[in-house]
Amino acid sequence: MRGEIDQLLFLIDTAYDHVSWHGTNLRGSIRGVTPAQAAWRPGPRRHNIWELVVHAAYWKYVAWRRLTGAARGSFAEDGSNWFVRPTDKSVAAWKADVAMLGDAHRTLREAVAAVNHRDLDRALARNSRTTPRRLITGVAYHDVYHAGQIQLLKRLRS
Amino acid sequence: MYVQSLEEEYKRYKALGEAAIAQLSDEHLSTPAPGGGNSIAAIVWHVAGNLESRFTDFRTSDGEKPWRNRDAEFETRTVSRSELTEKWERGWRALLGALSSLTDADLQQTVTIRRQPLRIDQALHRSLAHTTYHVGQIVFLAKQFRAERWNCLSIPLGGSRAYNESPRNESPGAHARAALARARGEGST
Repeated sequence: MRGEIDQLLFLIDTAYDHVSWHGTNLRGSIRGVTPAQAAWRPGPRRHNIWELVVHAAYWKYVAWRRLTGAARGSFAEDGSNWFVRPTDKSVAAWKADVAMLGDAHRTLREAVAAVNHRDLDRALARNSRTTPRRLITGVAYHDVYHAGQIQLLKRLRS
Repeated sequence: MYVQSLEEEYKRYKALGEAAIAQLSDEHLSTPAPGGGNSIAAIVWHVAGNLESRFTDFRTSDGEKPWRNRDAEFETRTVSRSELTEKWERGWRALLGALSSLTDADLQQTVTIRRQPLRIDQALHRSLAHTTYHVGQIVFLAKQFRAERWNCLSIPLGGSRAYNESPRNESPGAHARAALARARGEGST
């Protein structure tokens, strides 16, 4: 049913930037955050808000890549999973990474909308248990998981 | 498959919460967050209280039970590990019991929460998002308390490239098992 795709779009949108009941979603958690707030670490070797944002963008990219079958290596940054931030403490650099997160969400959204509902429970690769449904559901709650952490990081710094 | 995929995600975050709590001393379970925020015990009381209320008699009674005292969940409390585990498990038992009797055919039916009707798929999504959000905070605080002694629950720092060559923990169940193994210091990737 087409309704299943709409349901999955609802999941990723409320986790990212649509009104959500559970509390602050990922985009809401970084609204108004300054580069200095984003760069603050609660301790050595701990991630800051900035790194959580790029990490979330990366996993949206990974979900998009798996859904579309695109080749590896097309993420905007070299490396994977975690990326050291900031490399440039300017407002422009922070805004660029927030925009990258927004772009990653939009392209993921397009890929989810294009999934044929008949393929939702088919493995994405041989020898894999990952299906489009599992992948999309997982990336939605990944946003929420880190949104909760960003809320705590803001509180700890204030 | 929708109910199954949500159940797998619930279990992923249950395991992440447990893998974080397993690394802490008993004292840290009740220690307020730096700056006077909620302790892990308070978050556990809130998550478990929410799950128990929502999913006890899930289909036939309002999700906000008259016996739930939400405000009390956030009160400062000193608890033992066994008390914390018992509270946590009570919430999860209610949830997993309710999920076990649900099928995708039930998702368009409604339940009520605070007298408002809500489709079951929406109620599950709200609940899972709420749980995930707070498990993220449990993991964050546990890392804060453990500092350098923290056993990473996901891909260890510097291990991304190797993991990408052979991703073994992509399913929620595999991720959950790996997180619990890492919490025990077994170093599984």
